[in-house]
Amino acid sequence: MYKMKTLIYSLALSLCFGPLLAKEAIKIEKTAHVKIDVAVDSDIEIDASNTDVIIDVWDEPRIEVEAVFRFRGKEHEDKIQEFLKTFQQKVSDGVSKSGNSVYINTYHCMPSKVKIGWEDFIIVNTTFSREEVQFQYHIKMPAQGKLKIKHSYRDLRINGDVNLFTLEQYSGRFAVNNIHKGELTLRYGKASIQNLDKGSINLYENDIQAKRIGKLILNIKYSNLQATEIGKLKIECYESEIEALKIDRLEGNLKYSHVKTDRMQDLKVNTYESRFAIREVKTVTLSNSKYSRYEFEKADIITVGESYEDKVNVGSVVDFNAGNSKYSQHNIGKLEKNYHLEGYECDLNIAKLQGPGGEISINGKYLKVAINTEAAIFDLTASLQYGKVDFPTEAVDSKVMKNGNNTLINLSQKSPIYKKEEAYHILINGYEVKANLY
Amino acid sequence: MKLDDWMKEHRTEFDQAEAPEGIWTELKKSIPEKSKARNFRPWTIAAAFILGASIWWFYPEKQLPPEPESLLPQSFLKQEEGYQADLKMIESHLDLDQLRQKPEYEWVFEELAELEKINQRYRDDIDELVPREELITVLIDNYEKRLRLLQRIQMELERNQKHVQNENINL
Repeated sequence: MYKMKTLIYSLALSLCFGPLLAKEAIKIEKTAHVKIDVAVDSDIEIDASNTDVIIDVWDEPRIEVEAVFRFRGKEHEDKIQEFLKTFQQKVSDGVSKSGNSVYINTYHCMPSKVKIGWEDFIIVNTTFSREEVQFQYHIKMPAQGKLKIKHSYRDLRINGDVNLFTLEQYSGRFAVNNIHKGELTLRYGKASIQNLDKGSINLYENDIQAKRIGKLILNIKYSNLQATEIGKLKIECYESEIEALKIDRLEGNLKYSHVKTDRMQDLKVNTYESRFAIREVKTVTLSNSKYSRYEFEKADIITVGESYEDKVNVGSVVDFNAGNSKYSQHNIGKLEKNYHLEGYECDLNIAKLQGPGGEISINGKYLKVAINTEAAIFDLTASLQYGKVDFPTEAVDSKVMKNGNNTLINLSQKSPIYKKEEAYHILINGYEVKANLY
Repeated sequence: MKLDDWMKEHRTEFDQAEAPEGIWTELKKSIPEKSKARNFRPWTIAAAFILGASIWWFYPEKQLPPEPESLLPQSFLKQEEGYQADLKMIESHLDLDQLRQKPEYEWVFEELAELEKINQRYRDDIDELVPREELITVLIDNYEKRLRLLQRIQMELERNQKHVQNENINL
């Protein structure tokens, strides 16, 4: 987590300096230029498949395109020279304007080493490698209007602020400074965003790093999102990892996923086989959770709607309200106020009753309960069928009534320690409930 | 005098003049008759057919554009065969048609559909001059994901069996 800043900028730097690190010297280099006057709020659409693109955002009412072709190979120079004869024309043809919209199609048809055709009956078509041939577009343009880019297989770097941005990229790397509103679809690649105010991101097999994200709708699959700070995050998550120093609110559905953060205000999720590690969280709502693990160092309120085979470890919690819970485990370091459980075959461990008092209500079947009552003031009412409650007999006044398999217990600490208004009131009802107050 | 002026001057005479009798019959005789089209003999047709068939036989694939998949390296195509066999084997143990009807497995089929969409997108690039290694990595990854998804269904089926039994437990 603490290496986050380094990670965020490493990709951006590699996008800028990557070409400089190429081993072979440039044999052929050709540059084509296109200039076009536009309104600063023009809508711009760029199809940059299979092309390295650097965009510099400026406030000038003009777009300047510089397309550079570099050849570092050792063979087939004749084919390259032939190919370059039409380079300037093809680059110019790719830039057009219609009304308030500008279209830029990068010229990315790679020259091929072997011609397909009848002449030598060869069908195999091999391409020049990325090390041999490089197309790079450097575009200077305003970005106050809508910007839409399709990009693939190469690097896309945007320097500056983008207002309304749509990007569809696959098998590529992407870096940008600031996006006001973005709609990004990124598949098989890496991305680095410094700031995204609001928008939606579809990630598929993509590693994305961000410094600050405001309000985001995220559909993430087989991907990793690392951020310093996230505001509101609405999420559909599958086999992915989300890591952030701070998330204000996370809401949505997660499957086979992992969330790790230092601080969170609200967590409201449906989960399936997912893991959460959160240091501090205000409110947690697990509407429907299955086969999941939760680690909270500190939580104010935890509410569980429906739970199945979950494990919740919480260092300190004020209120914990677990509804329909089956085969689940709750380990609480310190309970500051209230705990409620409707459970079936659940284990509950409370290591310390911290607060000045509260309500503990446990109801269900086949439950195992262990509560450390040392240094706590408490009373207990239990109604059990085939159940058992162990308690420190020497410290309490108790009434135990047995009728067949049914047991009724009423107990409270001996005076003067016991004070009703400061006590934890423990209520246990159930079938085959084993409770140990120690 | 120019021909145009001369013709304009004698225009009325041309309009009134008539052709001498019998000139059309004589003219018709002097024109040679068009020769009749030759009939193709059967052996010419057979020869043309044999020639065409030979070209097709010897260079069939040279005339057609290559199938995109044939441009992929042999090593990948062999690997692909293996993946397809594995997929078939797992699918044979699952009643996918029946599972498709169940809402709790809807997400699996949505996921499979998305995988197919992505697979198709990359396969469309096979005959484009895109970085081959990256493309093949994705195609392999696609198979891996399908396999994992189907294996996951098997696991979910076992889990759900237990879960359904416990669903009826009344707290």
